[in-house]
Amino acid sequence: MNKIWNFIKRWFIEMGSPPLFYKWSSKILPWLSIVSILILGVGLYWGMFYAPTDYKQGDVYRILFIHVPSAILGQSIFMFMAICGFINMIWRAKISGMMLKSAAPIGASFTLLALVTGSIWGKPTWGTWWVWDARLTSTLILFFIYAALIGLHSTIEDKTKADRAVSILSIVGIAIIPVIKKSVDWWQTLHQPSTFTITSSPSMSPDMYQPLLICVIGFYLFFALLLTLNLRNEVLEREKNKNWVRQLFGGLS
Amino acid sequence: MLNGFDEVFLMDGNGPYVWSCLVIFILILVLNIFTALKRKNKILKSLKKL
Amino acid sequence: MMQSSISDWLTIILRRDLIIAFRRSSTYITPLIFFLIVVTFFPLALGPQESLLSSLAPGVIWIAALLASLLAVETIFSEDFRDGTLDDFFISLEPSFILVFAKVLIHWLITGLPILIASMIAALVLYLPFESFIPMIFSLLLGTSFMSLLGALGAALSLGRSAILSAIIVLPFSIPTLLMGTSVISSSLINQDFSGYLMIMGAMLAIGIPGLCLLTVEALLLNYE
Repeated sequence: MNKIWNFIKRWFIEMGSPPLFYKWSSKILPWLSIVSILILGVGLYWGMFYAPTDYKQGDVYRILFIHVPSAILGQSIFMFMAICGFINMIWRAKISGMMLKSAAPIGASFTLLALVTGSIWGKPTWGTWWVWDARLTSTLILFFIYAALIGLHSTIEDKTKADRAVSILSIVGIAIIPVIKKSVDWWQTLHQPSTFTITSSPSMSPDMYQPLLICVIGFYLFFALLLTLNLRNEVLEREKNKNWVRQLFGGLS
Repeated sequence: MLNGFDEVFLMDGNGPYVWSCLVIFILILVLNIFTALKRKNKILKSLKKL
Repeated sequence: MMQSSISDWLTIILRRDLIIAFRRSSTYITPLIFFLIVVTFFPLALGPQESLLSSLAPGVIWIAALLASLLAVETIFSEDFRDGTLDDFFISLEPSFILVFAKVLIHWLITGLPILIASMIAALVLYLPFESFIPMIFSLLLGTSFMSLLGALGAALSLGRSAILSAIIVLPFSIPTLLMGTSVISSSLINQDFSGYLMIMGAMLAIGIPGLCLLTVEALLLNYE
């Protein structure tokens, strides 16, 4: 037990050092890309062609296999960013700040994807592109928060300062997102009777649930792939004057 | 053959909605990867110059 | 040297900043005028029907209040940052929490309080019924103070940068305040119980005063590394 714990601790410390992270990530990158694309492909293929047609919505429900995972990702990437921000604030680990910065555009694009696919799904089922439903509204607000984080980071020239500024803001965000959700719920009950529920029937048949699960796993792996790609760029760019980068790329040392 | 294509593409009439979602999804993923790779090339080029 | 207590510091900063604010009348007049202009624009744009305006009044008053309190946000720290007062304070080893709290209080006194008074005029102009005045005042009291806290954080993060940035940072986080604030007024319009919303706003304020002030201190210290 103690051995495993020590191994995990060492692994975390090693990952905190940019050169070790760079070496380690170049080893797993090909595997990660193959596995993530494979699982994503299997999940989507299963969802698009083999999953049974929904008896209420027909075939449109197949958007679910893209929409639901991207909505889940949009939220959990924010959680991830807040954890990174927390680590960055307390331990000043350089790599956590870089992670925060690299995760932000990915999270924003998944949230945007959830919004766009939700809107496309809304057209045939509800008849409109947009409904001021509680979930849609809070996802839109989440997107605005992502935009604020990215905007703040891009205006501060000093990268480590920008990281810390964004960490502060992401901690405020994680504290306030539950409040936003709750308040949007109340706002909706006050202003209009809830007519729509976004997800299809709560008891999903296993034939639909299994491909959805695979899609969610695939999305997570794909996020890991994108994060690794962005993070490697970030590491290289910030450490380009360090010795290890110069040795790696054969420049002057 | 054409019949099969219609069945796959149109599904029960709402097929285009589903496929446009898939296209947008792939577009966003490819865009993400593309920008990452492009940035990597840029950084590598600047490293070579040093 | 005499040991000065925290409340002494608070009164010193408050007195100094209030004197500075009152010497330059634009600091407290501008948000007020802005608030009234935004409110008058809505009847001009939407037409003067009484029923329409009174149903829109909660939202209009709240949006105008949010924008007006954001307008004065960059002035919270920028002046002191530029002339070095902030540096002096951080060197003085006094808890910087006090400084931030005093600054937030000043911001509320020169924007929130005038808006609170002007909101009664706005409510009259927008035909809001008299029964809704008390809930409106209470919701604005809690909401504008929370906005001042958020605004201080936005100002500290965007110190020395464009003013529009602090608005973009702060606005998404102010949505709960906006929703609760308008809900208070509109529930009072249809004779529903609104105390729940006020309690949540109060809870947000109670958590926000220590939490946001401490994060604002962190954000300010970023400029001194």
